[in-house]
Amino acid sequence: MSYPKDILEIKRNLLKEVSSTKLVTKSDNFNSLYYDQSKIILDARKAFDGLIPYSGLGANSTNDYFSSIDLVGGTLKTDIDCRNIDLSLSIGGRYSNRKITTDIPFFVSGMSYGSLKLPAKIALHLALNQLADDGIRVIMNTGEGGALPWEVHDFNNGNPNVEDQVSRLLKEHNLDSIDREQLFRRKYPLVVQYASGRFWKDPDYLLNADAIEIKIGQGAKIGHGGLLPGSKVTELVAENRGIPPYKSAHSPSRHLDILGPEDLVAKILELRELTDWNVPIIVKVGASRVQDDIAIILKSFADAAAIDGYVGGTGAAPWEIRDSIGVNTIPAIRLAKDAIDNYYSKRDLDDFKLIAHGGIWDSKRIAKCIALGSNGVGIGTGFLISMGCTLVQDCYTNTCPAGLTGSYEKLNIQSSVNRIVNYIKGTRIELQNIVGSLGKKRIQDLNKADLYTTDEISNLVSGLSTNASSYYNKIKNKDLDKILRDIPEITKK
Amino acid sequence: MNIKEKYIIRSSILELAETGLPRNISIDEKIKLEQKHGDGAKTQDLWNYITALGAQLSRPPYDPYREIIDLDISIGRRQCPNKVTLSMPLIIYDNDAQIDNTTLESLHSALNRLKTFENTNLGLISENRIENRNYPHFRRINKRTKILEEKVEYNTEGLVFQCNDEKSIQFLTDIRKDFDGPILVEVDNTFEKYLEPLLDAGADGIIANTIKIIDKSKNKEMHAIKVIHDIKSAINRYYAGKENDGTVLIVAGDVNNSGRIVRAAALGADIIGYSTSLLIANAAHHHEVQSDFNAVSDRICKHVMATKGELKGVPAALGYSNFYNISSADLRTSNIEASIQADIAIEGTNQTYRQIIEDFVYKYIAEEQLDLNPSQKQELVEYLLVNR
Repeated sequence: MSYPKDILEIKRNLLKEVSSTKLVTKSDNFNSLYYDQSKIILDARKAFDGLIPYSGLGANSTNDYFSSIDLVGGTLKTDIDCRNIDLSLSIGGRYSNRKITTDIPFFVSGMSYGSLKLPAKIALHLALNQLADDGIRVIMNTGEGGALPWEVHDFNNGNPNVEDQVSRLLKEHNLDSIDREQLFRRKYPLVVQYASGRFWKDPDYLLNADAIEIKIGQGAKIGHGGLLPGSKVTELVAENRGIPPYKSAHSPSRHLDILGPEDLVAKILELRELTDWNVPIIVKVGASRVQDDIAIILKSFADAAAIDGYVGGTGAAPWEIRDSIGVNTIPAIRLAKDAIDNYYSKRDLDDFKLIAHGGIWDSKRIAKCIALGSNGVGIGTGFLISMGCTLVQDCYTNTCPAGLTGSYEKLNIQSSVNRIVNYIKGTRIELQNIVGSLGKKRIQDLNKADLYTTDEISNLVSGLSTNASSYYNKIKNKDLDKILRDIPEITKK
Repeated sequence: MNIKEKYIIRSSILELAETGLPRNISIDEKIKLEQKHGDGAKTQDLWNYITALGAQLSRPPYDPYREIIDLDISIGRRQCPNKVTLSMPLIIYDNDAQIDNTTLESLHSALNRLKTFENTNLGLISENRIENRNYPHFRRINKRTKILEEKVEYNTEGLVFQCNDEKSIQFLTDIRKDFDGPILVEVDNTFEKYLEPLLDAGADGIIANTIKIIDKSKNKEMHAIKVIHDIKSAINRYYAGKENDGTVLIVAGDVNNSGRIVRAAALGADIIGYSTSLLIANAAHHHEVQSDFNAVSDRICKHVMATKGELKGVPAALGYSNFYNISSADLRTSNIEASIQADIAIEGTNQTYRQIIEDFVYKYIAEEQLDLNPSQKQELVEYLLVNR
């Protein structure tokens, strides 16, 4: 991150003071400084401008368990022909008349226009169209900032306002040469987000969607609401969201009409009526009180639930909110699955689906999440990295070195399209190889028996084992008499 | 996710994005290799393994931008006639050391400005006598006899002194008769012994400097979270069956950013003895060529107000309109040691590690048909907790 000189000077002096004062003492016990040096830049920033420091992308989890959990077998490369392995995922049908079916169990998480710059949004759009031409349907989620005109309108929609908006959008980014007819031909399923900010301009946003996701929260800022810093609210972004330009858009921390379970049911029924019960409805929550939240979603008229773990990314979140709140993706899936199993222990199974988000970047992680109990996963940062994201986490500023989230750096759209296509195709092949080498035909057949863990805490949080045998051995290997002080009182019945 | 892990993730995804072909090794396998062979040993600072549970559907969050989040706290028990109210759970803490005059001037100016222009009442603990202030000052007493014998004017809203012997109890009893503001007592690793007599003698608050307590303690594996947990438990035991009449626990040392303030508050701290403002002032006055005390006090004000914003944001996101409603039930940990030290539930389980072990031991005893008395069962639990 490139900070103003003054902030760096404050930081430098704080560091000097930290290393010279008795205020902060090195702790020999925990191999760390009492003064958390990773946070020193936050103190410098706060002292400089008096504002709450933001950060982009997800929390830096100290333990996300993914590397301590592995599949029993399952290789990325195999000699077996796995091309017919079924990776499909369908969402809907529990209450909706229609389903959306995709050819892979992962999709593009919600990253809205405004949070991402237009060229990045167009690259994702064109890549998913290209994949659809190749027979691979991938879901795209709009994010909470509304849809772009070509995502929800037809080319010949006859609305001059739409044509005018498209012209201005493309012109601002020198993209006039793009074939507009091709641009308006959306070939992939679109999930639109219904978030607390209600950032959309016309009903087409909801009416032309393939599915609606009611966003209650997200992993990076659970309970905080969305945020788009004013510097990123350009006039066109503002127009697309229906908000004033260059003013930070703080969407409310909660839907003003969803305060409890009954309100969620009412909202879903309202959306169902609006869409003639056709489109699937997903409810997304940040992972915290997962069992309670999933139990509420199960009892509403939703078709699917999405949980976003602690590491789940964002364009901008208050640093301390991002790092202080949430549950990691692995335990979140475990808790959600427990809630689902509990719900269906008393009734017949139906088409309810669970989607997991947060820190899922490659095929192994996708397979682990599905084996633990989710049906599909959302990926955000992985797509950004494939387009050139350098993980500097400056997404909330206009200084993104890759030109993805805002800056004058130019993104090469064609190269980005190719990379997204490769990322998805490569991940798809790896997933098929993993499932095939595990001797299964469908990815949805993966289950907890396909997983093992390498440490005690991962066992506990994932629910894969109770560790009972390890505890048992610890006692058995020792003489119980030596463990217990009151030897004479031990008697076996 | 450290820098090495970021590199692994990025290079692995770029490999796929450039070739579209399966890789030889996954991200997790690379991270595991790095953890095994690299120097990237995981940090063991237990603060970093603790998070809070946010509010979503089952409990709606508050909105810190549009709704009032209460940070006010009063210091002074029922018997204290002149209570002090702070606008946020911070009191600037001197670390039991003399504050430089220039630093003190900047802090003094900042605290006056915060009260006047931001309506934010922050306290200051220091040994100095400070005039012309509109914020509460807690004067640290280092020479007890002088205070009692000379009957000096206190000219302060509160008093602070160290308790490390029996004489401290007598001193508190004597001074309590004389002083009608809150008296805060700083304890050390002997707090178990003196807590009850101190509260009986009328202490309004207990200050625990976690760094000092750990340094003096025999248990060097102890972390600040355990210190907070243990002292809060001792205070709760004192009030067993009764309502706490206003005793506050002030935690200093190792709590120096908003994330830790919230975690410490959830573990039982009511107020944080905050030295970061002092650090900002010292950093400027000690290391800047031309440090202007107005500019430094401006920095302190800005830092405090940003921290105040953060402290409103977190409880709101947890579904509380009052900062002090956060409790350890709102916390989860991804670390067994943290769970043991501060009785925090492990994420994904809703149980502390101790409860998990207790469940196992009871099951084991039943299966093995052992006839153990409660203390033996407890012994077995402790054995498994220690021999991990």
